[in-house]
Amino acid sequence: MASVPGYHGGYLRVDLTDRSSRRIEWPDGVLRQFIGGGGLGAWILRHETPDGVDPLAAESPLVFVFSPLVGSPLTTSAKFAVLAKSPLTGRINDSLSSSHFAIAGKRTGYDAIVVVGAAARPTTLVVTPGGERFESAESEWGLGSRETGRRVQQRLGNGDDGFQVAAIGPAGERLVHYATISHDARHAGRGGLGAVMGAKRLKAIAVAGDRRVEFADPGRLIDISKDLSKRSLGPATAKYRELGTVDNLLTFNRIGSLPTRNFQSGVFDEASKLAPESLGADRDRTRTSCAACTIGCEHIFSITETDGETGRAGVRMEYENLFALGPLCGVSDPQVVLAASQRCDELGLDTISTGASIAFAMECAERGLVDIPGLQFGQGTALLAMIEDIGHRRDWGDLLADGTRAAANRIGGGSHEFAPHVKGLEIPGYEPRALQAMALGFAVGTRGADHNRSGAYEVDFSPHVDQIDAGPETIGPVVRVEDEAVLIDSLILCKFLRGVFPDRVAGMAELLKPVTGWDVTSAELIETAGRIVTAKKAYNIAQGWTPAEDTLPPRFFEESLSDGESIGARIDPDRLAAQVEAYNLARGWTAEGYVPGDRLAALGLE
Amino acid sequence: MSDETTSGVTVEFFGIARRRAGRARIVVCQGLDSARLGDVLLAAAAELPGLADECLDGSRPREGFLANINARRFTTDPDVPVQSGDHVLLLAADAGG
Repeated sequence: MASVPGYHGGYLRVDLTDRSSRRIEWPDGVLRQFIGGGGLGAWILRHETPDGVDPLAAESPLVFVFSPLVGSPLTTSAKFAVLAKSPLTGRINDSLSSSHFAIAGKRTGYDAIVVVGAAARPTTLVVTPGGERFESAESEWGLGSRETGRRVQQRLGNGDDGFQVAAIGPAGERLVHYATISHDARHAGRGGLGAVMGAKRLKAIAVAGDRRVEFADPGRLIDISKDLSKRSLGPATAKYRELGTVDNLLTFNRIGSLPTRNFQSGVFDEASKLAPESLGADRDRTRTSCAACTIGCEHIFSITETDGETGRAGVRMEYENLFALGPLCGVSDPQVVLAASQRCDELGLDTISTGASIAFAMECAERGLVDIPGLQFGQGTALLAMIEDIGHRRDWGDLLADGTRAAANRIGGGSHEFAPHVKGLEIPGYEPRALQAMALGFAVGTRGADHNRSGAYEVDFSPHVDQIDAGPETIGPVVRVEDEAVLIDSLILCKFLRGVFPDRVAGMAELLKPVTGWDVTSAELIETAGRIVTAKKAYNIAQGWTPAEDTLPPRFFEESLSDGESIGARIDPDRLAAQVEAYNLARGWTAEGYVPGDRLAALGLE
Repeated sequence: MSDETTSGVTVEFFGIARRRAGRARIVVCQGLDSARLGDVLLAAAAELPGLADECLDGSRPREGFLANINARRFTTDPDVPVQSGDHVLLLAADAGG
């Protein structure tokens, strides 16, 4: 195909089994239809994944995708997506991460890197414009991702235009089903992509290069980049700059939507101990940012027990690790939550699924379904010990390492009723009974319960719906925010920029024009979003999805919230089912959620 | 509605609004049985200039902020009626985590 500005025109496909590689050119039209990041990754995954493949089998592809905006001066554009069939859910999984790996990866001269096969021994894949090579990672096996990255960089060179590294930690090596892939302490966190990498005995992937893409209108791109950077420093992002996402904690607690003690409550009495002010009261706090970002949302808190491996005392705190390792487990000691978060980062564990799995086990223990010494809500020591056991697949940690759905299947005793997952992916920090647009977003999400792909909490946090009594008016806005999220994840931009666009879709169209030269409109981008969501759905259907998956755990139907400002809130299963049907129809699918052939054809997805 | 305030409207601040207000809450519109949300926010702004500058646009929450009445209903409408004893929460509109 003719070269498109913003792209290199093809992707690299590496087979670890026979150490072969080849470049594959994009078919005509694919780039404009899927853009990049999560969208383009969904296209690749549909074409590269055998139906019914075991996610941890050699033939299961692992896909790293960049985007047309990477390498441009647009703020927050240094991002990449990682996709695979999730070992946690058996469904499509796309996780995004940030920073220098995205820039260096695109400079290899490829728009994406697809890894198939499996190495015989621990391996580091090195990708440059000059070719690929396979280095032994025996000496890094067992190390954390940060230390692995440091050593690989030291060996290969880490100066200007030097190598950037994405790696797995011990949890990925042990195939923990919610293991992460990490770069510079940032994580492609959800859905167990680290286990897919570990199953290939791929410890790290190192990228470097000097290949730069042309942009369609460099002058215009510089102008809009300056404007976007200026707007990114305005009031819409002040929350992220000054407080970080941990700011959510007290707000959510006040409105009764802070998941507590394995979703037994929406209020945590000791939340103030974990508020940003408390976290920062006796600790150093610094702020940093991803490469090419003007927002700087990362708030790093020092902790007293430094890690022996890295010597670093700081830990990055976000709302999700705070809620999952704090209130969800009934833990209010900030020191414990910081230490737990740091250990998850080092081991390479998704903090949401880790916290949720431990909270689930705590409730099982509370109900007498399991006998795990010391494991009770609020017990920080037990929380920290279980994180180690999960990361190393020891004792009860081995069972919890497969996630709450698998654990409930083994524990039995009705525990599936309160196992906090959708499609196997543990629910993030938004209590669905108190935020019922989000509940719908969780139910229909192609990767499971997720706040990054749906973003339906935005609908709850708006004047347009009653968040604990959401009616049919919810459907349109839920579809709209999902469309916006899928576009943001495909360009790729940071979602924290959302507030700076008066019209998000129109704003994204304006960004794409000087990069690619495409005269895209909002209407085209909305169709693109629908195409990408449908491609993900079609992928799931091919992998065995059934309509019964698009729901929530029974707890949310059977138990009303018993305290807090959302007291009495419960999800009506019939109403949720009707909303799911309405959502499916709004997407152009059947009421059950299957994709008709003519819809596939209309979107170019045959 | 739970309330320790027998008269007036309690405005609670979260996140950036709390930082700009320099406090967690303030009671305004005392002596009134009812008011509009806009009246409440203007009364708070009169006592807390930092809040007015960055979190409010006259009588309504500035873009990026939301009000919530009694932790139940989100709104930006300055004409929403508010009763004595109510709590108005002023918080970030973006709840991304």
